[in-house]
Amino acid sequence: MRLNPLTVKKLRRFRSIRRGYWSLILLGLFFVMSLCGELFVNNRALMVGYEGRWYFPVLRSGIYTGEDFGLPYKSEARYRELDALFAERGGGDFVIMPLVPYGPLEQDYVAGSYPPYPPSLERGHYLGTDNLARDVFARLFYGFRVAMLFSLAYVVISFAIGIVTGCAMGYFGGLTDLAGQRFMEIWSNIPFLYLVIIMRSLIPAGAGTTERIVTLLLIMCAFSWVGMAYLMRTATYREKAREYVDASRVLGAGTFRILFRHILPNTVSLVVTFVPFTAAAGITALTALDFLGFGLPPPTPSWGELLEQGTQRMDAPWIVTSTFAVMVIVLTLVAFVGEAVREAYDPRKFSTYK
Amino acid sequence: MKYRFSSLLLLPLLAVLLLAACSDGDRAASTASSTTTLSEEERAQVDAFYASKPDFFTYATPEALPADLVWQDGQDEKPFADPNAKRGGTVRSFILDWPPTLRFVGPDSNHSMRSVFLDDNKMSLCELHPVTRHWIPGLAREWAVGADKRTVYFRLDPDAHYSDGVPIRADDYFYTFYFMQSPHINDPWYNNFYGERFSNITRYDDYTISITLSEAKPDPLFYTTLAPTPAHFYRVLDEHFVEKFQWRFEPTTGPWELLPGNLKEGEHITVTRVKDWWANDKKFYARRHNPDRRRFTVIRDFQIAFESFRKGDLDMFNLTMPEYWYDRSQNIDEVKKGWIHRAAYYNNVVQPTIGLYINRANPVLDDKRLRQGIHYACNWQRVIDFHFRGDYARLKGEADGFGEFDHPTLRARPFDPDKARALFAEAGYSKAGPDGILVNAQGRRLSFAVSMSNSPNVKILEIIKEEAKKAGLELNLDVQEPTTNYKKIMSKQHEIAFSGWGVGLPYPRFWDNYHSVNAYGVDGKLLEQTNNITSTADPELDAVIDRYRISGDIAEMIEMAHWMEEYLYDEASFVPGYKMPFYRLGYWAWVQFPEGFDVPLSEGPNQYGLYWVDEDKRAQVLEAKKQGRALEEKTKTYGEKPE
Repeated sequence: MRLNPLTVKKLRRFRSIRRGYWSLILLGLFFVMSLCGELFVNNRALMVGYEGRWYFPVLRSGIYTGEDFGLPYKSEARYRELDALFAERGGGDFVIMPLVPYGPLEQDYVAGSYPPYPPSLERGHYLGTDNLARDVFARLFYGFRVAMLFSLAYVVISFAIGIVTGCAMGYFGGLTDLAGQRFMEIWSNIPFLYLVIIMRSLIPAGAGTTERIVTLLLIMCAFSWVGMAYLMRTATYREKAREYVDASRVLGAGTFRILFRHILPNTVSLVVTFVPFTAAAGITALTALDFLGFGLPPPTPSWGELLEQGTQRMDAPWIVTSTFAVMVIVLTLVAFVGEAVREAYDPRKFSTYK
Repeated sequence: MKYRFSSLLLLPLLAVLLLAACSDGDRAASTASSTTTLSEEERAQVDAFYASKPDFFTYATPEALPADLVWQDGQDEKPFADPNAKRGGTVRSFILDWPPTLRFVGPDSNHSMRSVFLDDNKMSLCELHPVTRHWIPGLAREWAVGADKRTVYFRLDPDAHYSDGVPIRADDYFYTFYFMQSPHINDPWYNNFYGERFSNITRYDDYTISITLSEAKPDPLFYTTLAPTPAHFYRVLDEHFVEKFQWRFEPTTGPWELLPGNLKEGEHITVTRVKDWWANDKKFYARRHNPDRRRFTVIRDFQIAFESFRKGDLDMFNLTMPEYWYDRSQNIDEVKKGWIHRAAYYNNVVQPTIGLYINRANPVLDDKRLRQGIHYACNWQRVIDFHFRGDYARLKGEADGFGEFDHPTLRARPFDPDKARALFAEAGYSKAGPDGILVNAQGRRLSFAVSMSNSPNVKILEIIKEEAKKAGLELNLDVQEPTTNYKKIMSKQHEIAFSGWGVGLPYPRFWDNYHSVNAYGVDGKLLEQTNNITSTADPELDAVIDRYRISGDIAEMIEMAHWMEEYLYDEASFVPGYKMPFYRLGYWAWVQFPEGFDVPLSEGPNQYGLYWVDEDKRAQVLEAKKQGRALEEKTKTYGEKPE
């Protein structure tokens, strides 16, 4: 594929802004790692050697039960116990556990003491546990994956709606524009939090976790496209009046071609510069909703839920400090990327941001 | 968005300001009334009301009393107060909110001071002995239950009088019905209660009355032991009742009164012990309610109140919550040095039925084996051991804390994944899916939603959910804002609900929760807004419930209750959760308690008022605190911990 020379120039410019560039690489690396997170943070073993056969529990879509490894229970094998058992028994059987051997939902109670347990290298809870004895690192890690996927979907959906409506309003103008504006004014006055509460109650009791997350996503998108639509409306209005649009119309181009081949590429800088900031906004909004208890369905790992627990339990500072630190790091990285993108798309090359 | 929220917050603030502006500062409590009797004109108006309901209000002579009555006086029971208790001193506590009124009835009367003014204060005709649960005298010296099990006869104690010195007579009970049935009190609950539940009150002489219930009850005393209403205080009611009595304190029959000048709006209220309280030397009331004064300061935050307690500004503090008992009070200096003592008292009060209610209207859940499997798949013990730190206990079943009505042997099913899997297999769920959750031949996963409100209790269900996986059962948490959740459950839209019903003495009630008339309407549709949230509708059970409701024989009722408990155990639509069989208290060392600390029917130290304040000890402890000198540390458990 041949890239537009202007685009190449912008990319080169972006690369030259080191802070943003490295932030993007780091963020990308984290994200990719979290996508295959089961290999790093998990209570399922990477590999089990049992009676001469090799098992790869992590890679299997189903589960191995305790009975598969000669243990007397039908639920999923408890690999850490298995590891200890094999080590004690000696022989050729072995278990290879991931780096952090805990899952995000697993409750690791210790008889005679009560969570939250403080960080412990020995037990593998590097950031301690939360109120329900779940590993804070595992919950932060999977919470990151959920937050990233959620906010990416959030950006894509709300931008898609915003761009289409905004372009339509700007290009057609007149009555479409007028009606659209009034609609958006009314729409943005609906109290968002109440609507979240109401919509949640309409989800049938039997819905699974994924359906609930998707519903929350759609509700959030339904209320976040308005800003983008306003921006695109203005941009389209401006572009529409330019001669190249008239020229292409004279040459016989249809509405769709004009909109998507000519106007949109010329306004894309506007869209792109907003992506990182909207993604950050998505993460914060989700965290805030979780904090209030109206976000992701429990026990989905989430930052907001951890923050809520942490502020309740100031006597267990490892919960709130680690969550807060991770949030600050991720949001700062996103902000650095956003700043660099904006600068790369800025036609005035020598402007500085301080 | 931000703007809208702040304006929402402003609204209540504005309301508060307006209210404050309306107050004129001297709406102090007043027990003063011009005379101690009604004028002739007033008398005529009240009498006209009685005359308008001749079937309800009857006048008779002592000769009309049935001859075969067996009068009881409860004098065989033992007193339960500590003989060493000393009178005097001040106890300082706190309230979270300023009471919006001093009335006991009408709008806003269910407030923070209600238990102090009314529940733990105002006396009734008879009281329950808090240890034996037998009847002991209150305002009545003697009583007799009629043969019809509807009518109870009372002889009032001639010594009894209100805090303003006016004696209590039969007329005050007549007036109680006039008062409680009046539309002017603006309280439909009381109107309904005093209108529907009773069918007659008869006056035999100034000190002898009988009260008749609309329906026979096995122990009609429970429902007829009423408190009198002082006619000379309220007089003839009119439409201004609510405003007129907003800030006036009714003369009381109990030990605590609120004198004018003892409250500062929004800051503090002090109740004082009635001078020459009439029951001072009565067998069951002596050596109780010992302090001279109880002062309540408004502290609007629980954590700040706790700090205030640590400082010594409050004498007692409720430490029932694990967080306060362990994390906040276990290792503080005041406790370690023995200035503050701590006590856990295991009482024996009826327990709310907290647990999972399985909706049988759901066709999948209408399978007994499956429901029994769910019982075995719920690990409540883990919740109790870790979340409640082993302090709470497992709820026995439908009835817990009703004495002989509790089933003697039946206990809730323990967590047992193997038994659960066996029962699920019988119900057709025998194969495990790829994620370990069982599926049946049609491919339906063994997965249900648990509806519950958004509260710290979500954590409990997160534990249950994780553990249920071990039995191949998936529970999805359907967490809603509380009102929404309540609506959902009341319209029976849930599969399983995590909920609890408050229950009361004297015996467990099955009709509300398990009778078919509360499950389905005549059209066969699910009924909304009833307590039967398991949608139980079994003719066999209905028949027993119906007999149980009209039975007048305790022994027979106990037998039926046990049968129903077994039946419901087998039907398994309620998974019993946990109970909190104690209250915990922190108190400064100068507050003294009886050897056994409290009595089994008590839910807090002020209910029976058995403690006393040692002012000499107060000086000693404060001196020790000033010098930083350690006294003996004391954290003790009293009462019997249930199995």
